[in-house]
Amino acid sequence: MDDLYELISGKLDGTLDKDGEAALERLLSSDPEAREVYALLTSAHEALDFEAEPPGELLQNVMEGVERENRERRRVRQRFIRMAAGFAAAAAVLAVAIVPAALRGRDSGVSPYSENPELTRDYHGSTEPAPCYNADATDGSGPVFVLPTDDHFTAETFCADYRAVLYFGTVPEALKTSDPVVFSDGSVGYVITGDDFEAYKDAADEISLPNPTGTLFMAVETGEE
Amino acid sequence: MTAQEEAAAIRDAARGDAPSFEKLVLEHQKRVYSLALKLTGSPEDAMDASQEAFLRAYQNLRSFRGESRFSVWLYRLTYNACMDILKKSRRDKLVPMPTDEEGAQLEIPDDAPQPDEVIERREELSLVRKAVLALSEDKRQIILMREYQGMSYADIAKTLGVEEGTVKSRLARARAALAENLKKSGTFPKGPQSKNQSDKGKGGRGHG
Repeated sequence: MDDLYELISGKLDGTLDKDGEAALERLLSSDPEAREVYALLTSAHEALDFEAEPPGELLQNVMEGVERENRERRRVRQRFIRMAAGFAAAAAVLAVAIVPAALRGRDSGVSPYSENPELTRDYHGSTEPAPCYNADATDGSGPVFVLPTDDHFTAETFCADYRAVLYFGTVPEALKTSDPVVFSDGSVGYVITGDDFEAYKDAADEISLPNPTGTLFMAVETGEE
Repeated sequence: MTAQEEAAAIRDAARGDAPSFEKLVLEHQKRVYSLALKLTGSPEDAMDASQEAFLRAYQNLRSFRGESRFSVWLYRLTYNACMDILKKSRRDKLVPMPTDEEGAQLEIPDDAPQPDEVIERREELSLVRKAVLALSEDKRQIILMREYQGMSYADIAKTLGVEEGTVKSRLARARAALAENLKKSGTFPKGPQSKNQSDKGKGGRGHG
């Protein structure tokens, strides 16, 4: 039967040569079952052999769908552009405002005492200015102070005697244990011992000094809040 | 439309050029609709499937690499759209009796059949469709390519990645299975008894 199907298939597709045609004729004339199969497949083949004219609305409907698709693409594209513009604007804000602010913060050295290890540094003999700390700026947002100098207390001489300078808008009464020192810029400082400072620290619970005992500090009042 | 014109239309349509896609629709809509009608047996479903196939084509034109012919790709989309509709509807696959209007949608050849013949053809088509849909996937696929889409042996071979000789033998086996299914239907008319050895003008479907 395989031959039969090969021959019928070739016949339906128009690929049979003369020998094939003759072989098929012989099979069909001698075998009723072959005739039945041939009849079935030829009918099926012919049933499918037509082309239907599409309704006119097909083109119209498809093109309306295409237009909807294009509108959707434009909408998505515009939304993407708006998003991209938003990101660009946000990036610009970051570049103009936030980054410089961060840089200012970093440059200022202003930070809460509890987070600033600079207090433990030994500046004795250093030619560098003593670190400046703003005691009122526990959130790191306070003003930047510059170490004051005068004839008696230059940065160098000051650092020779004091481990660190602490700046306060108003020096707490607990730290005013010495006579006030008036600097050339008008600000007032108080010499405080490590023990006094430690006591104050414990009370304020906002300053951390690893080992302040016996160390001298200068508490400077700036008058700024 | 020449191959170059079609390639240009595909390229432009992929960029969103609606008039270029319109050219492609005009070029292929008759065969797409015919295939859908043969597969679904319903003018309404054929219309829906054709629309869906063209829209899927438009949406996915950028993924069309030209590795197969555009028509083959489009027919595959049409087949998928038809199968989706058939699965969705789960309706009786028998073709409803056509109205005159539906009957008129069939392209009437020179030897135009009378209305009774149109009805008979639709019934035959329905039985063939059921027999084809009952074939195994590989056999159904090759029958669809050849009988429904009119693809040449060469195109089928290219699409399936086999030799033309393999296409011939697979087609023969698929037709054998189809004949078995038709026999089982019991009602399929063994039409060509009257035109047994006839070549009745099927010129458009040589193996190409």
